[in-house]
Amino acid sequence: MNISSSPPLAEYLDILPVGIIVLSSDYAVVSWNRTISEWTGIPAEEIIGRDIRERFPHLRDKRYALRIQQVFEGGPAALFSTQFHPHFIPAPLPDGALRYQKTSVHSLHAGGKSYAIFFIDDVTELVTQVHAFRKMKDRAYAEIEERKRKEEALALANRKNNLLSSITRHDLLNQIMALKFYIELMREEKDPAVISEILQKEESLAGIIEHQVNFARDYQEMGIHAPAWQQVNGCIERARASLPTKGVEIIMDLDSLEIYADPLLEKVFYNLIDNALNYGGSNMTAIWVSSEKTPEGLVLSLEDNGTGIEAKDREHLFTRGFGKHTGLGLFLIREILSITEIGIREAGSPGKGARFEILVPEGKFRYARE
Amino acid sequence: MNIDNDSVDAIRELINIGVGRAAGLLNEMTGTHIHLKVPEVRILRYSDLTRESHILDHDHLSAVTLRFEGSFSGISMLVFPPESAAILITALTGEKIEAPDLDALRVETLNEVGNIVNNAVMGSITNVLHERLTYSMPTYHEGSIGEILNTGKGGRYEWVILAISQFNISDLHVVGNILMIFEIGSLDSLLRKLHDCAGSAG
Repeated sequence: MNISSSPPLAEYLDILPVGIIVLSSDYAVVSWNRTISEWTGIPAEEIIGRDIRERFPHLRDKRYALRIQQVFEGGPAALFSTQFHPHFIPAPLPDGALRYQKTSVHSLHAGGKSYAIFFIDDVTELVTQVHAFRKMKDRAYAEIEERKRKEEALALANRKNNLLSSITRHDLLNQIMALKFYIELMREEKDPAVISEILQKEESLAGIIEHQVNFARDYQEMGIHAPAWQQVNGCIERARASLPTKGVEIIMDLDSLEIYADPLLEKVFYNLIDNALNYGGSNMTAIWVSSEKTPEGLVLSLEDNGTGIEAKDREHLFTRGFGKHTGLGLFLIREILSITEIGIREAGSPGKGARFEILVPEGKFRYARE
Repeated sequence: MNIDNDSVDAIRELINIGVGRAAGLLNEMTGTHIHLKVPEVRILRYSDLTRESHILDHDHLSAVTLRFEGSFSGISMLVFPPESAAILITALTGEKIEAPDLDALRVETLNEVGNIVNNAVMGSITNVLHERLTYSMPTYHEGSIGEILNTGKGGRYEWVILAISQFNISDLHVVGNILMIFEIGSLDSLLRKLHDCAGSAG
């Protein structure tokens, strides 16, 4: 090709699908190709010879000026990424949104003068696709995490169930052995007074067996369904509705608190309120349920103004078999909560009332959106 | 070749000036407080490079490279293990993601960060020496150090200035390497020019 008969450089630049600007070292526009003209709506004749910073004053900013200056001085090309400079030369799309751009600035020396040549790529399509891909990836990642959490909780519940079923079987056999012993005694006994006494014992044993079977049924439910977010207000309302509160008020201050727990969470509140009603004494008038955020997570408290719990009993309170009845209620509570790493402790004052504090770690509580 | 302590000190100072400028620019751009330190600068033979730096003994590095030619020729690069690069970029952009990775946009962002560091270091050296070099287009590469440098032309590289660089952003510390790898005779030429420059200044 004979160079002398070639079209002028500006015509080559006009056919390229990228925005191209050439600046002289005083920032005057030397070349402004058709693409950048179409994007910005600024015709070449309107801007050529003018300082580009009059139309785009952000280029005076150090973030641009220092690096462009280095290019004028013959330094390496400067790259301006979409992340930090999404709209290097703001250029709207037909819908009004701005094009995302990726820009590189190169040094050019000609005729003893220094120039900077800007190549501006429209990467809107790429940015849209990458953002959609990131969203999809984040969603998939969250689903995997959720599934992992559920699997861990289910595996834990399964281990607990296996352990407890063997303990329960052992306990039931003990009670049945005792029952058989009393039946044998009764067979030989003639005195009606003694027979009546033995019958009472047998009834008592049958009651314990029945309670253990009921407990095993509840426990068997634990971990069968995956943990879920549950509204605490709702759980307590349902527990209250199925208990004879006998005038004891239940006062809640929980906002829209939700807890990530085994679906038996309602049973936790049922048992705690039932305990308070059974052992709080006749002077107890109210149970307060409230929550407080702490650096470790959230403390959800159930506090009553009953007789309270002796300090010496606290240590064994949640141990299976401890208590005035069968000692299964508080044990079950601890087990249900521990499936999603929630703890529980008693922190009341003997004589002034019991206070159960449920310790919910970060990530396992939230406030539902209005 | 005689590499004396004064030469190493001069190079260390020039790299630190460049890195300081780069940190200032990154602070301006990102609005986050970035502290960029170069605790160690060494000059070693190219053949000893991977043995001397465990960061580079990796099959999958992320590097932003800049080739230069002139009175001294070679390649300047900022190199990270890929996980470090992804963590650095997500910290700089303020993204909150569980598992940082390098997608097309983050690679482009890393390319800009590397471009700022490489340009600042090269600018610091060429300004002092009043030297004009020719540069190739800055590029991003992944692979082993050999793949990045395309060492089919292996024999051409002789000496390396290795600058361990530490990016501190809040509680995050990411370690990478700034490398200036010189073609045969080029480091000698640079040191001679530095020496002349120091002589004329004195």
